[in-house]
Amino acid sequence: MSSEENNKKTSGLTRREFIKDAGIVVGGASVASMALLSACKGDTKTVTQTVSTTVNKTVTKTVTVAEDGVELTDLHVILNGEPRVCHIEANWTLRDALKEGMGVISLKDMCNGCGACGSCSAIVNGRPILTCMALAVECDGAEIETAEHLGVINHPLVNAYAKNFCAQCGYCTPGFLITAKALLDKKPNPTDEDIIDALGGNICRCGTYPQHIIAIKEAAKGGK
Amino acid sequence: MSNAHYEPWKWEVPKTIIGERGHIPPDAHTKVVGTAEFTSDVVRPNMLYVKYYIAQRGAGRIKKLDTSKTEQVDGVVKVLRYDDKSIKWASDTLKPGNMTTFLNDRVYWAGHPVGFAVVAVSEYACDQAIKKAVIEWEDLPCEVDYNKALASKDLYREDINPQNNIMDKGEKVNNAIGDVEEGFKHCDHIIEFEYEIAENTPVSAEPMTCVCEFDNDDNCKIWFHGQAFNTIEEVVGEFVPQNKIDMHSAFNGGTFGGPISHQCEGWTAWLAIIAAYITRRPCKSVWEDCQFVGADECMGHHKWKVGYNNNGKIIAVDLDTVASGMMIGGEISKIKASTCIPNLRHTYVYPLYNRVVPGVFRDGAVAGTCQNMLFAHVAAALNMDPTEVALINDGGDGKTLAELEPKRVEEGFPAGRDSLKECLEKGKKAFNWSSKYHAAGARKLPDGRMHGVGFTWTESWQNWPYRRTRCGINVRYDGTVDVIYRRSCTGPLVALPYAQVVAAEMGMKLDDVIYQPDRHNVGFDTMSEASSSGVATNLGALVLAARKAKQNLLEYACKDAVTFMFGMEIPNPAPFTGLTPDKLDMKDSVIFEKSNPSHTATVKQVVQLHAGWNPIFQHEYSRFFTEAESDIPNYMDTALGRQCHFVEVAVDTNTGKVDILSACLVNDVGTAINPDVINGQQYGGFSMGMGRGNAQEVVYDPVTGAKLNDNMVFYPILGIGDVGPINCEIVETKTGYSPYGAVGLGECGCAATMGLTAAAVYNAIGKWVDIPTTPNNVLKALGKA
Repeated sequence: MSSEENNKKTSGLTRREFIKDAGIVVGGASVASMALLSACKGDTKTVTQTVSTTVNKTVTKTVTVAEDGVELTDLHVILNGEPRVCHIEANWTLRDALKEGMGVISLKDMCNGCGACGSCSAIVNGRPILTCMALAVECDGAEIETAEHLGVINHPLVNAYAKNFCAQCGYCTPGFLITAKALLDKKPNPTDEDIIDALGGNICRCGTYPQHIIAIKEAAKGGK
Repeated sequence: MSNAHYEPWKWEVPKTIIGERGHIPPDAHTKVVGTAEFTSDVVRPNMLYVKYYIAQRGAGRIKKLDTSKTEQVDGVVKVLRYDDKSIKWASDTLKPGNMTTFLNDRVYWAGHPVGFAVVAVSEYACDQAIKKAVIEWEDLPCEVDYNKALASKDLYREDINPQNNIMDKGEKVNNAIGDVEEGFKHCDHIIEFEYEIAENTPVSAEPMTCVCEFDNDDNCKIWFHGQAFNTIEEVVGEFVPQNKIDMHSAFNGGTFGGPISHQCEGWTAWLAIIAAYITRRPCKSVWEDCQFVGADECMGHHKWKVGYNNNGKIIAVDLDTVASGMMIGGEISKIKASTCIPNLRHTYVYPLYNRVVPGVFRDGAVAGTCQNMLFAHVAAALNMDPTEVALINDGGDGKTLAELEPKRVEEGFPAGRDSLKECLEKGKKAFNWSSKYHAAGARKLPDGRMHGVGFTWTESWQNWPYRRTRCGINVRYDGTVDVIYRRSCTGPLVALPYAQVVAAEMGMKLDDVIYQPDRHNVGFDTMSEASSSGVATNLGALVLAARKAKQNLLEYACKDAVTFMFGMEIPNPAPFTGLTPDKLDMKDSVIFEKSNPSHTATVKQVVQLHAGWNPIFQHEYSRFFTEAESDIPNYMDTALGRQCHFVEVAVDTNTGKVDILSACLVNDVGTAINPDVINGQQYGGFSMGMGRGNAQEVVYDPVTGAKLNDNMVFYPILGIGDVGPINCEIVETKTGYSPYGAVGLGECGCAATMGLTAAAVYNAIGKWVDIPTTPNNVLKALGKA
């Protein structure tokens, strides 16, 4: 029995038939998809609303409401020193907005957005926060710093982290880095206990933990 | 077939670069600042998302699936249903590797992808749409306790065995040795003990994801997160020829290998491929909870009978296990490989029930843990220092070190090296063992907690170059070097040590060699450059290719060139014309005459001489690409490299909490390529081992089979405050089978340390505790729970 016949015996379909059949589905899916996309971009109306945010207290904003009731609004932030804006929906987290809307890929997600890994950390108005646990609309007007920026300004932490092997697979490392930056901003000469406390919410699956203490103390001394 | 002439352990270690500390990994800065692109970061124009429905129950059959409301959710493009004949064919037929049944009507374990999947314009739309499906279930017998499953007549896993509840049963003949019953007759003491190891799960750093797109000419691009590239290519190969597949390997966020991880990779990739083929749009499959799908091989019940003499020499071991899943080598494999115990027997039964079939993701963990527990129990029973019990039983395949030595020396290994002894000397000193070790339950800390120490040892087992691999080296027009590979990095930093090997072997500056990432369709002919067998398997090809590339350069350095310019042949004399390659050598990317070191030429000069005057015409360039294949040695016997590890704990007998105070890890790596990277594997492996040994335990609802802690809030992964200070020591006895006598280190520490806290807790409280040593298990042992 050929493998094609064998396949047919087990599933009642051959590879060729699947491709042919899938081709028909393709057409349908494409049409359906385009229709749905059109629906998503359907008629909208613009209203002016007063919105309370945790950052700028009360501000007046423009909210775009789609036919289906989905509210789209603009998120204005100072991201890594530059003013940025993107369209967000009311239920977006700050991580969604920065990653999907502004292309910040240093914000990772290890814990499926339940605030347990620290991989999505960013400094918001001077405080390290978990961006998966913050609503984007609440951060309108915020000053946000992500790990990418530390590379741009050549912060001593970056080289200290690189040379002390703080990154193995590297997935969680930006979250550690930005948390360490927030620590040094607050405590320029942290003790081991300070570092352990500050990084307590960050998980590294490669277990690089001992190296972060070395790197942060080295960066605190100006990278020496 | 193996090659009698392939004896890489005899190869001379280059005098520079190899073994050096202080080099920065070439991708370190990119990873640190977060600009390294992982598969989960990949976004393609017009991309769709696709997600499985994941069963939350442990057993059942779908009687009726209503996805009408699912299809109406904004942004949904397609629902892939199990009863669609195309999808059924694809899920039945196009299984990467050894994937078990999925996207079917039958649930076999909580977390099983069944029923349907949703393709939509966003992840959010997928999630919302999945929630709208209405499923009518037929309840089927569900059991998540292997002892009950063993006693039951219900069938729980018809996908694996439709006859009964046993997956496998028998005696591990390949690991048995001697006559156990006879051994028990000739020993001073016999003890019996048993313990349980709970299920733990991998929790890779980056959630499972895959991106696939087909263009209108049926070219296929895939961004794959995982190790098993070849099996994924086989799936796509059903739709397009494999030479039209462009397989990208973005950075991989700390994933694991082993059968169960490969299944998760396969299921995830399958979904992206099928969705992309059907919709003709780029599709990204996302499966966050997949991190919690796997179950490790360690779980199960271990019952021992051990005969030993007054001096600590173990005479006979009889181990009976229940439900330990798919082990590679079995529970007593390490004991056989690293001891002179003359009589070993292992009987086992693997019942089937409603959990995912356990599979290795840290190869050797169950074997390392078994060795740990065997020696800890014997030492405790004799009230002997466990390091002394280890030394007296060291050996291999029932033979002592002295009995193994002549053959090893004859095969070219260094004489008189005693790996365990050397490891113990370093480790005991660094850990301050003599002042920390005490009789069980004998030391209380000032804060009232009990102090304990644990010790374990086993072979350094990743030293088998058991596959042939290939490696390509390309010398560029400017004299720099690429080492070409396919990245499927699981975490370890191999780019740096592999570049060190090539630079050292060729005589290049390290900065001139790049272990080139994402040359995605070529590279080592193995599953991964950083797998269990990474260094041991790949180093041979790497060294041979580097040596070939160097020889090639030296030959061209002696060969006159002819340049074709405007129809004329212009002779160009070589910098070493009239000499032969054996008169030359290389250092710091410069070729020089050995008898006249001031006579030099750069690699760049030699390449450009033969590549022609104009880099646009690079038809000569291919002269500087070399490739080599490693072999499998004819002689591979017992592994003599050892690892030993020490941990210090404090146990609160009121709460049952076990805190790790300090640790010392010692690995004999044969020859250290990069000590910084080795240390990374040591402290990293320890962190994982302690997580599995002291904290991680998957909890199921006994009635529904639902997994109750498949998230990082309730399934604890150790953090920076949980591991304590770690002292890493390296021993180099050059006793591995890889080039330079090197031994691969990946996963050794993680697997060997899993049982370490159990031994330390016994030393603290004088009671044996099941694994992991969670507060609940400690309190149970103390009779308080």
